[in-house]
Amino acid sequence: MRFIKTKYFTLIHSWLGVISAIFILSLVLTGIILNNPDNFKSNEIIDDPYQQYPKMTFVFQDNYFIVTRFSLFLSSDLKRFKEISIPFSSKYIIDIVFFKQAYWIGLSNGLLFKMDPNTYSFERILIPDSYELYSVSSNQNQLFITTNQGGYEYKDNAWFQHFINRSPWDFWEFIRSLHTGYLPHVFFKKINTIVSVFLLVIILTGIVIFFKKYRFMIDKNKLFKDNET
Amino acid sequence: MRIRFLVIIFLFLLSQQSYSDEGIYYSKVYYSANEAIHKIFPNTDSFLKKEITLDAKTKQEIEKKLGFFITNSKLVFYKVSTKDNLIGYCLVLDEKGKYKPITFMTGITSDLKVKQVVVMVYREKIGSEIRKKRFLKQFINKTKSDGLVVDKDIMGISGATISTWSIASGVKRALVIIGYLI
Repeated sequence: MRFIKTKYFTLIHSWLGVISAIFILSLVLTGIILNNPDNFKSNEIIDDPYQQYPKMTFVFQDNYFIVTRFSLFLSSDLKRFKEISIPFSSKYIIDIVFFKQAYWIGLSNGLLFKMDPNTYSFERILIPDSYELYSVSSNQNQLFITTNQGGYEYKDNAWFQHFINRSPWDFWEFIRSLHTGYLPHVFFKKINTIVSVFLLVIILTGIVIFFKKYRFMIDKNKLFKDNET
Repeated sequence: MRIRFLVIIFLFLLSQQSYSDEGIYYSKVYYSANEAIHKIFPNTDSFLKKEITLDAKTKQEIEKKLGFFITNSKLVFYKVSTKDNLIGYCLVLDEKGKYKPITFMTGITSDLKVKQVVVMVYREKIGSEIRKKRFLKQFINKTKSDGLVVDKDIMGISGATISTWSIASGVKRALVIIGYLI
């Protein structure tokens, strides 16, 4: 009786394991890709911004900026576009503002660029040491950024801190760093990738073991049947 | 066996921790200028070092072609030759990474195509993966008319995002400058 129970449990465990292995395998593989997005190249990129996965539009008095996954486009009517040659990846853009006769482009990984509206030349503006930039905003006289360190205002070519981010390190931050691996916690992301590779090996070896055992079980059953006859 | 496995994991985590404790600044010299030139052009017989300072007008014209501003007007480049011919140029540039500049050399053939890129000095703890062959070989044979935008023309490296941008824009800068100077 005890033997039968174990046998059934083994059978259920094996079959469910093999069926779910396919889905877990796809999760592991896509997880590794999503964890290391820069290491995988996209398909052929079409020049049309509307076929480049547009994700943001910034509206200004005379023109629009369209941010796609691969490029930054400028347009006056949203029909004709000029692609701007950028010294960074467009997918990191979080904000574009107009301040003191220039466009200021903030990137999520803590960089800020200033673009001349006539020559489209870029200049990197140093911001206080930050791993992440959350927002850039402006009015006529003020340029304000919010980073993981706090809020800063740009005055007379220098940054003045208005507030300090004193938020505690919590569970959500841990989960986020595990998947995004932002700068002080890059190793979390590496561990995640390494463990994904382990899981991949476990799944593949598990499938091999299953089929080997399955064949063995069939052969064994056949043997029992032969003996009975 | 289990203990050995746990020790390996522990040491790995410890190494990562000490990595972050040391701070973000550090400096590692991989190649001197002489070594880098011979790596790029192995059959070099001689090279001529030239130091130039871009005047305001030249700088402005290059910036217009380039699409970004040049912060340092002083440049060092080498004319590389075999016994008979000029085979190329090597330009040393300092491109700002996240915090510190990355010093690298771009080798350009006489027909103005990238021969090879060599990282000479890297000064940050994170991102030294840009030295990897699979990243740097993407620049080979690129010309100044190529965009060299990461994610579009060049595949980046996760964990070294800003450094890859710096190298890509630096190679573009080298191509435009050499194209302008000769």
